[in-house]
Formats: sequence, structure tokens, C-alpha cells
Amino acid sequence: MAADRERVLVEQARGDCTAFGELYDFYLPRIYGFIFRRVQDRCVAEDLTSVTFQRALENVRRADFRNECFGGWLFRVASNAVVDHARRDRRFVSLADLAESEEPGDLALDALSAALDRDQLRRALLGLPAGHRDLLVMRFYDDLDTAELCAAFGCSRETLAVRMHRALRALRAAIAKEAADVA
Amino acid sequence: MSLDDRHDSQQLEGLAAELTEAGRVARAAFSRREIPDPAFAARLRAELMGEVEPGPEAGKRWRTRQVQTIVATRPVLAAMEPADLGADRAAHAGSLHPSVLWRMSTRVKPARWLAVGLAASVAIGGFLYGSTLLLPVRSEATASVAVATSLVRSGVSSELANGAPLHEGDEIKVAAGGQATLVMGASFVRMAPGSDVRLDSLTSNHVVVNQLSGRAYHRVAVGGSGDYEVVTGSVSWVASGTAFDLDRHAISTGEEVRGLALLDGLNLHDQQLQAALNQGQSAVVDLTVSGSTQRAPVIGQIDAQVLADSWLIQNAHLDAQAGLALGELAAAIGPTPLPSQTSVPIVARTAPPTVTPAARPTREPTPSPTPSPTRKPTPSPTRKPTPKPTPKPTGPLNLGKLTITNNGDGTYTFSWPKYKGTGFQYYKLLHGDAGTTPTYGLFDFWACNSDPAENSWRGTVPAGDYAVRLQVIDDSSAPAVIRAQTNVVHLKVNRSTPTLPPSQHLGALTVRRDGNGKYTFSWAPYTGGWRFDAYKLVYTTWPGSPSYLGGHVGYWDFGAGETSSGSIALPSGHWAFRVQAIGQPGGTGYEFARTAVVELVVP
Repeated sequence: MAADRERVLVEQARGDCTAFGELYDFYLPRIYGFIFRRVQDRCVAEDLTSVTFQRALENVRRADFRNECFGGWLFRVASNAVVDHARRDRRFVSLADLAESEEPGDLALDALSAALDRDQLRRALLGLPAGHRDLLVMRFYDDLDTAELCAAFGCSRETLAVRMHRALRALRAAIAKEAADVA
Repeated sequence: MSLDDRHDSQQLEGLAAELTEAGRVARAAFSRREIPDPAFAARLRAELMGEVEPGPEAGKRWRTRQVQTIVATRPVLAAMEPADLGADRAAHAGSLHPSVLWRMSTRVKPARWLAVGLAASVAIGGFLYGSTLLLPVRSEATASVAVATSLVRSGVSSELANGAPLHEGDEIKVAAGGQATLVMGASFVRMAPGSDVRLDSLTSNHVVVNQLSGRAYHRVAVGGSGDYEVVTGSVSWVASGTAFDLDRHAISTGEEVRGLALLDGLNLHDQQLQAALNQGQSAVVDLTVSGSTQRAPVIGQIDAQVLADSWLIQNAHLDAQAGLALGELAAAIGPTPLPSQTSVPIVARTAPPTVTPAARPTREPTPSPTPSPTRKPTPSPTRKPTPKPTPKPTGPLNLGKLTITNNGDGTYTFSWPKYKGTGFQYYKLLHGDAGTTPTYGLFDFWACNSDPAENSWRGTVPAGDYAVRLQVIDDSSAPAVIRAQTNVVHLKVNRSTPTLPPSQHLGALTVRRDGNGKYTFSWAPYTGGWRFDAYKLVYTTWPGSPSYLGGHVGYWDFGAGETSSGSIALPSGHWAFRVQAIGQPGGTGYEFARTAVVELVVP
């Protein structure tokens, strides 16, 4: 959706259900897919999608809502909803094991890594720090564009470019390490 | 740029290209599963659209919206399970040991009106269809369900509302992602997303629906000399039977219409052709761009592949739940269900099927297995002489009593007997308006416990008048199966205005750097005595005052008994962190305690 059109719709959505409906129709498949990739459960994905759009509706109606890249913001809300869900769900994990437990994005990471041709690249990706992994998954698997990523990560375009560069370099270094280990 | 820099850049671009391709492959692999169920999409859309009009509590978190139920629904549904509704209207158990809250209902705005509307349309149809009274077709028609649907009347387009009366000449257009059910006397038509029909005649003995485009499932019950006709271009499809599906869509040479005779026969004709379909047969008619037929219809058999269609399966589930005969659709939701994306569950088949549907208490006794007492007095010669009676599942196991305890602090504890059977996936604590019969897939829920031993739930219930029921769901394959259920309990929660305490200050928030980009936060526990749901570790950009209920960039959830985050990875940046104890007294988010803000620079 064009940024200008989106801004207009968000502005109208403060009191016009039709405008929010258009935003909903556009983003529902992407948001649902984003969540489903992380929870792999239809029931939970529907719940979290519902929460995401309910929160979106509540927020766009607020006078202080910052109308900047609604789509990216929506992904952030969805991401928080997934994290929320995962934290609730982690009663099965002792606190001591938390560091080793699966993070919410791990299912999406697994799917992305499984689609990679090179084993070394796959292992390297799985071994990256969470911050780098999250960024790469959202960029390359969830297919978020730059504006959406900036909104999702709450950073500027410049910062995002630096983070992306660092993530790719870290991935390249991890591949090199994998190769060295194999050798 | 130096040669090294260029080489460096090329390597990273190569990596990015590999990741891009992997992402494309991964998305393609999951593409089917990642599509939201149309029923869910439509239901959520309706909830959101209904939310826009500000109410007295608009904008509050976790609020349960009171919505109007279609008037005709309650007596019909109540009659289906009189024992359930009458049993425990004031059930209050003794003290129960509250369990750890696992997963609260995250669905905050129930879709009761839509769910009940769907049930109403099929229940009404089921009742009238099964009746031997041959009720006359009323001249009036209504939209019992209308989601993302527009009404064109006298050239003026408007949004079609649930329950809106329909008149001759009205055109109804369903948007992509929407749905509609039009009730015309005792007949009804369910319109698929993207479909468009016009009601050409609504007289007491002659209903004519002009199906202009898209797909619609027609369920016919006409009495005496009445008939029901669907027009597609120059071709008329006249129901000699009860249920049929028409799909009209564009092809390169004009349009194609496919008709499926799903229950009893179907006749089609225009000026040049005439054909009759038996139950189980299909016909494909090609239309020119002007709507006239191009050649004789192609008649074939409805096979399993045709029936493995989510739209048909969805209709089959709805009809089955209403106790309607399914005809060919029975195979679509038989003992080995075909793949489907529908979210409507089927009930567990735990006993030998009975011939007479038990869910039609108002039907007069009839020894005949003929499922269509409202059919024309002169049967079509193509009709099967003895239609097969459709076995009706007898329903889920009775799990026992659902008991509810008012804890006096705005929360309620719900408990139920443990399920000891097979196929357990979830306990779902479902709720609807008082007088309804909550059922999984059609009603909202408060709790969803995945452990068979976790047979209670404690939580805040917003003010309202509810019917509550617990169901055991087997969601291991589509469609879901209801394995067991409790009785339906009436719960009335009056609006309370608790005097909430001021937010307790928990002191400093301690941060420990664990290395590798991870940190551990620790805080003092809340000691105010009020029940809250979770500690929220919230953050915002420095300098700032992060708040879960106000402004924040992100947050993590921790149980009410925890005082440490464990080692967690943080995003790079200059942040302000704080922990808050958040509860939902009266259904609204409230801060019971907070720590001081701590500044943290994450490289």
C-alpha cells in the first residue's frame, strides 16, 4: 500500500470504520502469516491476530497515535503479541533453562534456515545472536520493507542499514567459522 | 571504494541474495497454511467494524462487548438443549484450588452476534425444513448474516446490516472477505465472498434469485405449489429438491456456471435446453458474454474432489450442526474428513448414528425418512424415490458440571471434571450471551488450557449476562472435533467499581549484564495483596518513562510470582527500562506497582 494512501486511511480510521476495514483487508494476510510462522498453530495465530488488530484499532483512535508507517507498527504489535504468548507459555520452562529455551521467533528462523541450500549458511544463521537473527528473519522471510522494519524495530533508516550490515557481516563470519571448524 | 571494500560488499550482497531466495522458498512452502481462514477473517472484520462506534467503555482493554443477538435465535437454540440451560443457572461450587493461569483468552471482542447469526440461519432453516407443517413462504426476507456486504436498492448502495429486511429488486454484493446469509421465508442462501445476487421475486409462492456472479449455496424449503428459482443469465435453475450450490464465474469465452445437486434433484432450463439433475450430479453451463447458453450443459457426477472444497465443507458443517440432512455433503465431513480450512468443528461420534436428527425438538414425529417434507407435491421424475437418511452424530461426551466460584475480588474460578478420554488438545472455556449455547468455533472463549490436568481457570470476567460452557477440543486435524463438554451455566456479573489501591513503588530495577548481548533484570515483589496478572518489563527510548498502559517500544511478560527476567537478549539502543505489575480489575488494565526507571545502553 502506498505510504500516502496508508497515512490517509489511518487518519480516517479514527472515526471511519470503512477506512480501518481497508487497512485490515490489506494487512490481515501478512499479519496472520507473520504470526503463524512463529506459532505454527492456527488457533493461537487467530487469537494473536485478533489481539493485534484490536490493539491497532484502539491505538489509531487515540489522538496521540503517531501516524508513521502503520504497517511496520502493526508488525511490531504482532511481534509483541507473539512474545507475550511465548512468555505466558513458558511455564513449562524453568527459569534456569530460559536462556536455552526457544525464543518466539525460532520457528520462523527454523523455516528460513531449512530453505537454505548451504549447510554452513544454515548452521551459521542458527548460531547468530538473537538480535541479528530477528532482523534477518523479518527482512528475508517475512519480507518487510525498509520502512516497515524501521517501524518494527523503532529505529531510523540509517540505524537499520547499520544493523543489517552488521547482521550480514556476523553471518559471514559465522560461515567462515563453520568452514574452519569443518576443516 | 577500495577493492577490498568492493569484495566485502559483493560477499554481503551474495549472502543477502541467498537469504532472499530462501525466504521466498520458505514462504511458498507455507503459503497455504498461512492464509487466514475466511470465516475467521470475516468474523474478526465484523468485530472490528462493530467496535468503531464509540460506546460507554470504548477503548478499554480486554473489554467484552455486549452485542445484540438475533431475536429468533434464542428460543431455537435453547430448545436444542433444554437440559443444559435449565440445569445450573445459579451454580456455585465450593472452594476450588485456583490453578496457574496458562493462557488467557486473547480474543477480547467476542463475535457472538455473527456466530449466533450463522447458527440462527441454519437453525431456522433446519427447523422449517424438517417441519411437516409445510409452512408458507413468507413474502418478507432478511439478511441474517451480513459481513462486508452492501445492499443496492433503487440504485443507492449502502452497507447491509444484520437483520435488515430485504425487498424485491434488492441487489446484495458480498465483498472479498465478507459473507452473507439471506433468509427468504423458510429458504436461505449463503453467499460466498465476492458473490452478487439480486432478489427478483419474493412472493409467497415464488422466489427468484438472480445470481449475477460468484458462488452461493442455496437451501430450499418451499411449500405447496411454491417454487424456488435461481437465474444465471438465460438459464434458470429450479429446485425440485433441497440443497444445491451454484458457482458463476468468468472464463475466456464468457462465463461458466457450475451447479451441484447436493440434496435431491435440480432442474435447469432456458429457451434452448432443458435438463434434470439427480442428487449427486453436477452440470456445467457455458454462457456467452451476453448471458445466453453456448451449448448443451455438461452433466457429470459429483466426486470426492469436488466435495473436498472448503466452501462446501463449511456449509456442510453448518448444516450438520443445525441437524439438516446433508445428502452428498455427508461424504465431505464423514468419518474421514477431507482436507479443509474451516474452523467450524464437528462433534465427536461416540455412539451409533441415529436416523432421526435429535436436534429438532419442534419437529413433528414423522416415520418417513424422506428428508424434504416441503418439496413439491409432484416430484420430479429424476428425483430419487427414497433419499438416503443422513446419520446424525449424537454429540460429544458429557463431561459433567461446570462450576463457578466468585472469588470476591473481581475474579471468578471456573472448574470442571478432568477429561480422561482420548484426542485431548485443549479445554476451551466458551462464553456467549445468556440464553445461547456456546460452541467452539462459533463463540469466544476466556481460557484455553492445553494440559488435561489443568481443569480450572481463574480470571476476571467483565460485567455481563453470560452462558458459559467448557468443551474439550481435539484440534489435531481439521476440522476440529468436540470430544466432550459440560453443561451450560448461566453467569451474571454485575458491574463493580472496586476501589483500587495506589501504585506501589517497588524500588530500583536491577540489571545484570550476562554477556553475549543478554541481560538479567531483577525486581522486588509486589506486596499489596491485590491479584494482578503479570509483571511487564517495558522499555522505551531514553530519556523516557516506559509504561505498558501508555507509551513503550516493547515489553516482556513475566508471571505474577516471578521477580527476575532470566537472561534475555535486548535490542541495541539507548533505553529506559521499568517493571510494572499489571492486572485487569473490572476488565481494564491497571498498574498495581512499578519500579524506578533504569537507563541502559545496549551496543
